[in-house]
Amino acid sequence: MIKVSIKGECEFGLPRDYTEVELSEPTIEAALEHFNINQKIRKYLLLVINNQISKPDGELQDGDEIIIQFPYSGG
Amino acid sequence: MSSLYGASGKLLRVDLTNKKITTEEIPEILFKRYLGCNTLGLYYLLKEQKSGIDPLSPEAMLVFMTSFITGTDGPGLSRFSIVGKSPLTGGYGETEAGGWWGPELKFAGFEGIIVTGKADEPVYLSIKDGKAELRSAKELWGVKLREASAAIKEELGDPKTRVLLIGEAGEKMSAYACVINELKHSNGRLGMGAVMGSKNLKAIAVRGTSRKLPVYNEERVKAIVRDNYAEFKEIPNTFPKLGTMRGVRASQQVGVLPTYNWREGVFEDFENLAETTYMETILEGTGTCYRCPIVCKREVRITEGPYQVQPEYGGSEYETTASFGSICGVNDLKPISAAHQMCQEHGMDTISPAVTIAWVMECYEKGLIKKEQLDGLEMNFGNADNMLALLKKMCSSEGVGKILTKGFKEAIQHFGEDTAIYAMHVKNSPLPAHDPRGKAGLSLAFAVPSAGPDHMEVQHDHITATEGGAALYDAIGVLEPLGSTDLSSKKVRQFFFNQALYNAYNAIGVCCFCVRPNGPFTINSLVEYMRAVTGWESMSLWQFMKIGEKHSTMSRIFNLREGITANDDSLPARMFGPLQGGGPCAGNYIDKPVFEKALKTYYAFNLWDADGVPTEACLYQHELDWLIGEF
Repeated sequence: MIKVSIKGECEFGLPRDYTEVELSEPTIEAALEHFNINQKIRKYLLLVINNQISKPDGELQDGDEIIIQFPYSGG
Repeated sequence: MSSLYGASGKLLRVDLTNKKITTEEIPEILFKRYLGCNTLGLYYLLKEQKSGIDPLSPEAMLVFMTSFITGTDGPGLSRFSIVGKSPLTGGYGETEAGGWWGPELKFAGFEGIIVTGKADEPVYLSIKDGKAELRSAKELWGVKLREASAAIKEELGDPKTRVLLIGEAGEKMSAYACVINELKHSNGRLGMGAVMGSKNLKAIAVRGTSRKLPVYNEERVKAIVRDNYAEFKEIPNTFPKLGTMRGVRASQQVGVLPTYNWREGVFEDFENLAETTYMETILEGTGTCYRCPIVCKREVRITEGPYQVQPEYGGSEYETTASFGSICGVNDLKPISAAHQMCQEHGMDTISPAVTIAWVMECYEKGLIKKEQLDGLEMNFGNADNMLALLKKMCSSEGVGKILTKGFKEAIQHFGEDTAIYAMHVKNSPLPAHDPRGKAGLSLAFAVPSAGPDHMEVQHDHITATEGGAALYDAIGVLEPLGSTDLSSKKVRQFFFNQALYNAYNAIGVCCFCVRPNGPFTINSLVEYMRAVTGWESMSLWQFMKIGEKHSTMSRIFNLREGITANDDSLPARMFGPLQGGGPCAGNYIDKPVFEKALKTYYAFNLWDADGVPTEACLYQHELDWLIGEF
């Protein structure tokens, strides 16, 4: 189990402000499962981990701060 | 009688000098070669307009163009283009808008209008059910948009008339003047409102009582729309609730919310501008365009205090909010909404004056522009009241506002060369509210378009950096995600294909919000839809993309004829230095040698030479050999 803080797009079920959660596995997939994020949008999500744009396949660490959001384009 | 489906095949020509209105056929082959909207309009410009003319002179052409699928039953088919020579850049001017006017022009019996000449006094053009007439607009000159639009509808006796018009900014030929339909939908950039104003043309009112456009295979059209909606409904869509305003938080969180004139990429008070504050404090309702399921438009009402706003003009979207907000250091949605309304009332673009004001603010804080040069206004970042005061001067071309709305080049000449490094423009057109230092593909989207920097030129890097986002474009050969700060030749390839696709979207007038990931259409289903409407069974995605590529070359030639060259494919100097402040992109910069290599690679993809000039092979490839020797 690891503890991380997560925030993101509340319209998709993520908390607006950083919220500490316990994950059974150190993966983004586990975080998405934790918040029951719709399968259809998971492959579009952009990650910021500890203030760095990150890929979804890395191993999370205890204490990580994670932003998960649907990317924004022009308009 | 035209045998076209989806279109009447009719073009209206209006010679304002001689008060002469004629109708001609648009041959089907031209639709097949150029599709419509921006590219068909540009075809007429290149064919008929001499280079070197003053864009505000009577001989300048102003082309309004829809496509063969505009106004048919699919989602997001409301958009049309206005093209001409830009009084802001001196080059190719192109601007799109959605709303209701484009479909209504189709219902009224025309695909497009070409306006030339100059009326001897203010007029408006009324088109109803295939007939057109010029009517006096003397009483409407100087009248704000809401009142002018209402007066035209009343005079014509039909409240369902759709009105496109200019305001005071256009009448005074400000280079930032835009054209607005139904008070909320703007052909915003590049000063096309000034071209209308130079012709004494206040408005174009359109009405068609026959609402049905003939399509080749109606059942197939319905099935494509139905199937796409069914798939689309399974994907969460935040637009109806949040609109484009979700862009403030989304851009902030990845460090690309332009702040203090692009000095920084995060804004400490962003929460004041974010979608949640918007919904809780100023939002009254939502709006949309013709047959659109996305519902991205906002409507704002503020009834108390110094910044009162009415919902008739809609509400500020992401670009306007960021431009008058974080870019000017203003942390309150109410004055931003007032700025939006002021621009709409006067027919003024929002991005251009806001970015100009941010430049004034930075120069003022650095002591490069003095209070005495600004009609006594103190212009520190965050000073909302003086931002509005300066904007009012710009909207009315009064005092220092007259200098500022001619564009950066003249403003820099006036205030001094040492202000130039803070001027955030390309080809004299101010940047939209995005930062290439966190989205590197946008460095090309800002540098290379003939019509200047454009946030709608391509899909942005943060989408195509994800597995799902890249997969949306596998039909055009984008098979892998690329990092958002990648500017390698692989990214140039992705940009090149994506730009061709977006050019082609504009050539048929589909809103990119109505194509995945945000909307119902997939790329392939859009082509299938075009086949079903027109009966052009051989129409393919390959042809669609090639027309998108062709547009880049045609607009390039327009600019070359006007003396705009590869030397103008640049970025503001600030982009080559580190992004300051905090956030995930702090310290990022555009590597100049990498950027310059990317430009050369982009030219080569287009079959242009190293100086960005289209080769003869390029012209033959695109059936543009009629332009050999013309530039």
